[in-house]
Amino acid sequence: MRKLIYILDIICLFGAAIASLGCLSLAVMLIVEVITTSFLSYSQPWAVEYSGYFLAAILFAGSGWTLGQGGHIRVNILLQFVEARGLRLADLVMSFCALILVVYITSAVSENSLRSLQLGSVSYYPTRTPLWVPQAVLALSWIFLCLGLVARSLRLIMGLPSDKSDESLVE
Amino acid sequence: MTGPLSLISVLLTFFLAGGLWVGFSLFAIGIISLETFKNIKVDRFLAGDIWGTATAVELVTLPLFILMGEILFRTRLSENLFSGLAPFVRRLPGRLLHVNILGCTMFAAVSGSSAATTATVGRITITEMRSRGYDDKLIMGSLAGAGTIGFLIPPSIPLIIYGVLAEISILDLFIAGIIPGLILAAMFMIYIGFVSILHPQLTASAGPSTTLYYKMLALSKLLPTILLITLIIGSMYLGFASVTEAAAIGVLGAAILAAFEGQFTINIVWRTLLGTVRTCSMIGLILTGAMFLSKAMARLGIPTDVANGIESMDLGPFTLILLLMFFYLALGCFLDGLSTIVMTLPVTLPLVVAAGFDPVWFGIFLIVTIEMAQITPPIGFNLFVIKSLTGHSIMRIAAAAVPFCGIMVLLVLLLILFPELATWLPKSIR
Repeated sequence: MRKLIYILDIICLFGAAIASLGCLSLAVMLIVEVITTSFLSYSQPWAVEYSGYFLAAILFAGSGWTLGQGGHIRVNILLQFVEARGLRLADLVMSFCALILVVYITSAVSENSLRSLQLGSVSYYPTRTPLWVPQAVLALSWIFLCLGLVARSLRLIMGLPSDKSDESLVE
Repeated sequence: MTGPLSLISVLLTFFLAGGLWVGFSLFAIGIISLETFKNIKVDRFLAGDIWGTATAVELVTLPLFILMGEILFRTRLSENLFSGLAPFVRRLPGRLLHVNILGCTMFAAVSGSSAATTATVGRITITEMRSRGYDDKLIMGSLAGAGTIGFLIPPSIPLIIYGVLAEISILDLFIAGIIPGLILAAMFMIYIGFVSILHPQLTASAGPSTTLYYKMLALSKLLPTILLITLIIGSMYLGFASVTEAAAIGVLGAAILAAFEGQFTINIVWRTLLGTVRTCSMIGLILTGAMFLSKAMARLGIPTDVANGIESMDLGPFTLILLLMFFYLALGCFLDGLSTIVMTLPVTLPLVVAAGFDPVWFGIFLIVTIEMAQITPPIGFNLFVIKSLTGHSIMRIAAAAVPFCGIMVLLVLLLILFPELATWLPKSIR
């Protein structure tokens, strides 16, 4: 079971790496855009469109990993009065609820991508990007979040710490 | 209360109190309400909405400003802020305590995060002031209060979120936040000055005077930060760059600064990116959940129902805004600032606009009000940051922050009495 949790954690970290790559690409692309528009009177025709796609990856691909880091916000005001065993049970119940919800959302965004593929939908920007590709990345991002929730639930069942915290600048 | 509104209120209380993550709670409530009361394909509506929010171009500034803050967090900026500002405040009553306020105000101008501001400035000022014998309560209180200035001084992440949700210009909000932010910093400094005059034992002696050469040397350490602030804010306000372009320039400037300090190793870049991803993921989940719930509520006619209900109570605009102030102050004790904004805005913004208030002004009012949530227990992120820096209990830090919270209430009242404090600058620049 521990090996399974380890594999799930690695997959979630891979999601965070995709988000990081998206972040780096966005920054580089927009810095280049500022330089080219200011000094060369040239604008990258894909800049606006792809900044949106990169944003989607940044916001969601690392969500599963963030969950494992304790980075998502929750209200613990009542739970702090519950004893340790009750707290673990409440956490497990809420993790299951979240998992059901995220499976629903994942299936909805995956269907959306499949629909775009079947209809041959393309973006209205000059690049005419097939929309199913960035939508599939978004669906994959939600799958990472599903896996993060599975890992969390398994940890709770096994009595392991549910998440870890590191240095954070979370608002 | 209508059926949908009752269901949403009950579910919200149940999910949040039960410990379900805020973002998931918002999605769950939106889905359940639409499935219960509307005959639509909720999954298709949901998928389209998530795609729309996740790729919204106006949100692109968010990861860039967060990335810039993360890069600067890992530079020697905190040391430079302290050594650069300390020689200039030694004659002021309160002395080094003012470094907390000025340092936070300066760092706020290059970072959108209030917790990052508190952590960056606090990690050096706390040690330095403690070693000189300053009162712990004043150190923590001033840092807690000043850390929240990060919300008002641009680039501010909550202001970006508000702008996206309220569909108003982020640049206007950035401009509107400057005067209230500076007034707040000035009020904090005046308070520190008064307390230090009344209780001189709370601060340390001035120490030996420094030469002009030393002062100039100290100031030169601040030069890169001042240049970066000028570059970001100046390029936006003078119209040379859009907010997104200014954010990209900021990232480049921060990266150059980090490279000069030798802070550009693969390991640091990786940790910086992960830090950015973590914050963005947290905001992304809450924001998309809130955008979806807001559209679900609009489809169910809830904002209109609430507006009609409030209208029937025949409240004057002043009473309404005072009620909202108390509402947000109370909510701030249980929810973090970001969640408070995204959850309440779909209902409160139409009310306020209908009562004749400027949405830009309301944005600033809201930000100052939720700033207090950052330093009120049990959920105040700045309190947690200061706890990790000082080792004191949350309640002790919160007690130290009470006077500074009171000053923020005063600023809110000033904003209500003199709305021009927030609206004058954007109107005169535009």
